[in-house]
Amino acid sequence: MSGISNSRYKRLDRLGEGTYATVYRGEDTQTGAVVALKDIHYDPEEGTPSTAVREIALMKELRHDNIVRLLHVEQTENNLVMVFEYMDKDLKKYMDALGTPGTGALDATIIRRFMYHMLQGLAFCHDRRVLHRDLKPQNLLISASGVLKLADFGLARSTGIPVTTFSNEVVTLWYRAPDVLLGSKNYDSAIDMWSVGCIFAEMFTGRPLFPGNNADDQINRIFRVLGTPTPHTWPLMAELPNAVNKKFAAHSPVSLPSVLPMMEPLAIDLLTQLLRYEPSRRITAKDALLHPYFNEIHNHHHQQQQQQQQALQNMYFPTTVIPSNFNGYF
Amino acid sequence: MVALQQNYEQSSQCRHWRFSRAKLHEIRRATNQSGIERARANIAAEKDELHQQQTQPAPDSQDDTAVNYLTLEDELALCHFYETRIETVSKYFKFPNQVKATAVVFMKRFFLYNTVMDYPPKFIMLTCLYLATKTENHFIQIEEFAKPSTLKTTPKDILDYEFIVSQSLKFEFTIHHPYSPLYGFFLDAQAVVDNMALLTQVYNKAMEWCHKSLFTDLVFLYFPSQVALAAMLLAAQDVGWDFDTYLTYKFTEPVPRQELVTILTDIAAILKAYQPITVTTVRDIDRKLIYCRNPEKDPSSLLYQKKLQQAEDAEDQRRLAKVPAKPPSTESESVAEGEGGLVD
Repeated sequence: MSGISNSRYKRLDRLGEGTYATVYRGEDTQTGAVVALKDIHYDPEEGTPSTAVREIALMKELRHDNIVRLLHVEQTENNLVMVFEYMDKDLKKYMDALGTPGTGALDATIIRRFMYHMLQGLAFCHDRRVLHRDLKPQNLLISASGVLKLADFGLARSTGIPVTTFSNEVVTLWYRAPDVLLGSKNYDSAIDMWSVGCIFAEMFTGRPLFPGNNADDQINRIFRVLGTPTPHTWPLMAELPNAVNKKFAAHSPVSLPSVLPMMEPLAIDLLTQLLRYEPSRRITAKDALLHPYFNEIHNHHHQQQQQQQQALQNMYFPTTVIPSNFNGYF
Repeated sequence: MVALQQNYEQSSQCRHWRFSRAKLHEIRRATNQSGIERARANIAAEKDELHQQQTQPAPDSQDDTAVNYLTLEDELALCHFYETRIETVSKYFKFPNQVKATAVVFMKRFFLYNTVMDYPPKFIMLTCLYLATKTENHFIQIEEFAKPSTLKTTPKDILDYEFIVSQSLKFEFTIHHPYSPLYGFFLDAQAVVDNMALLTQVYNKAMEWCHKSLFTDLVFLYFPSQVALAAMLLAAQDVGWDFDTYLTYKFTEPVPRQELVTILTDIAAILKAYQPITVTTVRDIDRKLIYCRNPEKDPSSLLYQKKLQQAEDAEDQRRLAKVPAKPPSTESESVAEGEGGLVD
């Protein structure tokens, strides 16, 4: 660990290991601030890995309260180092540590807040034509003050026109949208929305909604809960490469409130719109933020805005009464 | 449109890489000036080295005035030439426009704060192109990229400059080009134009103007959407299409429209004034550059060797100083560590 001699950052404990990077908790020797360091290994075949170049390119543009902030990039002897703001835990660890003991289920108020944060971060990305493509509890980080931020854009990319073929092996199986599982190559921001739905339900139960063991098992688990798609619920499914000439066992949909009894009706309604088969009918991040499930937060924001306006008013038009004996300094 | 404009204003391109003409000139002048001073000091130091090695007394008569340093105009001309070489190399590899355009902008940004007297533009050009393939998701293996014999390069040459280029770009790799706004205007105009054949002609011509815009300073001066619209204006003139009607349809408010027309006229003038650099001019500048390169950055110079030796000595010192401080159990680790860095 001491091998990185010319780094401005001191490496403390190792947080994780990725395919092309190792992540440490670190300390900025100049400011004492705690940071997260992503050491990217150079590849003799290509220098800085192109995944890293793309991740840096995106992170430099994505400046938002609900997206983990890239603070700095530095070079050491063997690595390129991405320096991120330090986040306390990922959602998985947060649930294990602070959720209901045994299950990891979270409190309804916290879930609402986390959902709102997640959707705000995503709406910002999607607005800039950036897809995350790998949303899962391990990639959602929670700050010490309880703010959720999107992280790990290693698989993310900008969607320009035209959309080239994407690799099929991107989204982690459990959170992978059925259209991707069935081989769709023209996917868009809707693939992230499916993942949001899965994570939404997982926060209520503490368990993954569709923990498939392989692609077939994954699609079966989805069909067993949401019902095998019909030409009515998913007209375009038959055209997908992995669905052509394939016979799926017919399952009728289970009522979601019976599987997820702890979810209030508005939460169930939002979940239903997130887990739509037809990607074009899946709710967008922007629209989801307006869903009545968030009314409590909307009202709270409204109140806050009013208070802020009141504070501004007080600043510019103070109601303080000037004493009658005041003769001023001018 | 407004939302898109806001998105663009938040981009690093708009926040860090947009300048007034005066500011742009000032930055380049300062870069050229400090480049000359650095080269002058190091050329003198290199001479001293040479004389020390040959144990000859330094001839006082030979002074620095014999060296012709590159002027700002020389530097710009040389950069322009290598920018156009990016187009040739991109064509060879069949890279899409996006890769080519990004590479050209990388190169422009790099030489805003760096001088060709420090960094040979030929190598920087290839590194910029290689980085652009990574940025634009069009990655190819370095072996394949360095293969064409006409490039006269090696994988090492290209990768050696990767970090310095990335750093000079402030790691801001995302570049916005006029191509996608142009495509947007093309789709948009179809709503008001019946003659698709003519509009397609306009679009194709406008693409050519957009390509040309890469080799001008427009990327530093205006929004990509403004450049795209000006390209459309020029294309309309080329093929005889009524651009004003479209503009009036698109921008209904007269005052902002008039302001936009002023901007478009300026962009169109810059585009029309563009002249490629002739090979003869480049050859002359290149010859001049042989004598005024900063030896500190030239691996074949004595000064470079000396600095390298000094850096290695310093590293030795650092490691020697470190060993005794370590507990005996980690000694094997420090030996292994030494192997990587020291070349005997």
